[in-house]
Amino acid sequence: MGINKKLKIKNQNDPLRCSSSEASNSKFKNNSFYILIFIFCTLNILTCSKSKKETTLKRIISLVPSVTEIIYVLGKDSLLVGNTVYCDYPEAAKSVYKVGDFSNPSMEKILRRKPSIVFATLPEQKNIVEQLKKYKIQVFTTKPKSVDSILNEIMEIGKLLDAKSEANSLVTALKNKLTEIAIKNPNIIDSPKVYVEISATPIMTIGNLSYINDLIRYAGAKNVFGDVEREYLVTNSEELIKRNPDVILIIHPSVTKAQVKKRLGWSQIIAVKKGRVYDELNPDYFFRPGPRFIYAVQDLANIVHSLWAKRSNTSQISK
Amino acid sequence: MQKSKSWFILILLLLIAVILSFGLGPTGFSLSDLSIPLEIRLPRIILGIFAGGVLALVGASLQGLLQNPLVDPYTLGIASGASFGAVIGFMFGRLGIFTIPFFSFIGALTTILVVYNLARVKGKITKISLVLAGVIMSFLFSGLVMLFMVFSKRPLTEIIYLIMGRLSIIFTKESLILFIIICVISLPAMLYIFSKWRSLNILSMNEEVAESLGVDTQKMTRNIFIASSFLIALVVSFTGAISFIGLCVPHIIRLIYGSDHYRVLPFSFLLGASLLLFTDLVARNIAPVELPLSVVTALFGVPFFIYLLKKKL
Repeated sequence: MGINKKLKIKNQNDPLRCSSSEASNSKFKNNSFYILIFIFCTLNILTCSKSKKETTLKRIISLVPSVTEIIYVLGKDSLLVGNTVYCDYPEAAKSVYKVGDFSNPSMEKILRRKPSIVFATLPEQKNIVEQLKKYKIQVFTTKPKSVDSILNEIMEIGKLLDAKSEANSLVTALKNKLTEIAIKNPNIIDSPKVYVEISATPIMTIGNLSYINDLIRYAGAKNVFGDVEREYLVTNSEELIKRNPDVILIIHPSVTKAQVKKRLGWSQIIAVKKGRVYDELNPDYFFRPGPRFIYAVQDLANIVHSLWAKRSNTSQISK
Repeated sequence: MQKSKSWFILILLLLIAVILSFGLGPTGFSLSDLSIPLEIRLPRIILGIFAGGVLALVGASLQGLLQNPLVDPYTLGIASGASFGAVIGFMFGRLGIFTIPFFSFIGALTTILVVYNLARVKGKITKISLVLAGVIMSFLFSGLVMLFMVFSKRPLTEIIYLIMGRLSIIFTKESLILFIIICVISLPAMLYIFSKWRSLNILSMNEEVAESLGVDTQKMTRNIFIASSFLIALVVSFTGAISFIGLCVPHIIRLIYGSDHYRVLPFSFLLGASLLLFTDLVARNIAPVELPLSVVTALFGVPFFIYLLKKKL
């Protein structure tokens, strides 16, 4: 099929070439040829002067929704000349020129916007990163594995975009919030086990290589699959019943908590028995390693703290 | 080999598979508390027997009907139609546990109708037009699934796993009862295919011979196609596309017991069911990570199949 297509294209090209060589013989076309050269030259001059003006200003494209959020918080959104259809926060990010989706951004659209820096994530966008390097475009790749690396990336992006002080104050604010939450965390080794469901058919959760594992830790709990050396994994009901989490978080839109409670066999899990299944948290807080990760930690910490408050109450009563 | 003996061996194999599937799992097994084996393992066993058996049975009947050894239940485009339906159901989100199976069943039924009408040239269905129509529709629907994947704002891995084969659908009490009712409803379709063993035998000699012997090949092609498609649509909508079983189990049975459809059809059902149960046993006991079934069927099934092939040649 591929060969056929190529042949067809060749055949189509040949007659075109013939006609253009014939046309160049005619006087009229000769004139138009000069006009074309003139237009080309003026265009060149125009674009040259334009690019000279903009060399001082950076033109950035973000292929990662979380980086788009960071750019807006740092107040550098005026430099943003392109992002993806997934970049929908804040509201203004929706109206930025779209270069494609997260996994298949269009190389041509990216090049058309003449970026000086492109923000991408690995390994999902490896292909595009390699192509961009060929065109000698600066690429900043992100792959946060922990809360610390999210904070580091904010600092690095701040440096790149001449927004060091903004980045600094953002990171300090986030760190302050984290310690504020951590102070309230009960100082007990037996922290509650959290199961985070990211897909229902089949059921998928996260292992300890995901930064979500770290978010859970900062909220004063632990990932019930925290011993698994993976970013995410497909598991099954029986394994989950064996691990018996104290809290279940549903962060995908496929099921409601009522449906989770009705799953066969799940009534044995403590979280279901005690009614600690949550489906109302915003998935973007968890899935996007940008500034809003703090809301994920906060929401989860609220759940954990209320749990501990109840526990200490009951233990006081029993005493 | 004696007929009764081979029946006995295959039923025994299925029994062993069922007992092992019932007894083995991450939480272990104790007679005092049977809630986990009953609530979690038993639904999987029922689904496994139904899916594995139907896949192999339909594979065998379609290979016989179309006289093409490369045909499997998915050749006729039903799996990709079902995948497309599943992806659409996936977009609807929290409607209920049966959203995805329901939409994939609708997708599969639509595909069947389209394929059937495409294959009917001048009121007649030929084998080649049926296969071609199926292949074309599966290309179309895989293209549409890709389109959705590109424009979906949800993690891609979710959709990829959705399309791959699995027995890990999580039942609630109501949905399990509904599923068992569906199994029972599909019994007549299976029995119909079993009952056509004689016609399939005659057909495998030659279509003209079959017609001269009084087999209405047109009517038979239509009926078996509809019955098979209906069954596969049910299976695919619950389990996704599980490879290997539908293609290779009938061949394994033919290599061992010969190609008499009187034996090929029921034996394929039995072997398909037990093979899928063994596969699932491996897939879910490598926990905490559960493997996709098609990976296990390929890794274990293919070497076994090559061994049989070499031995018989």
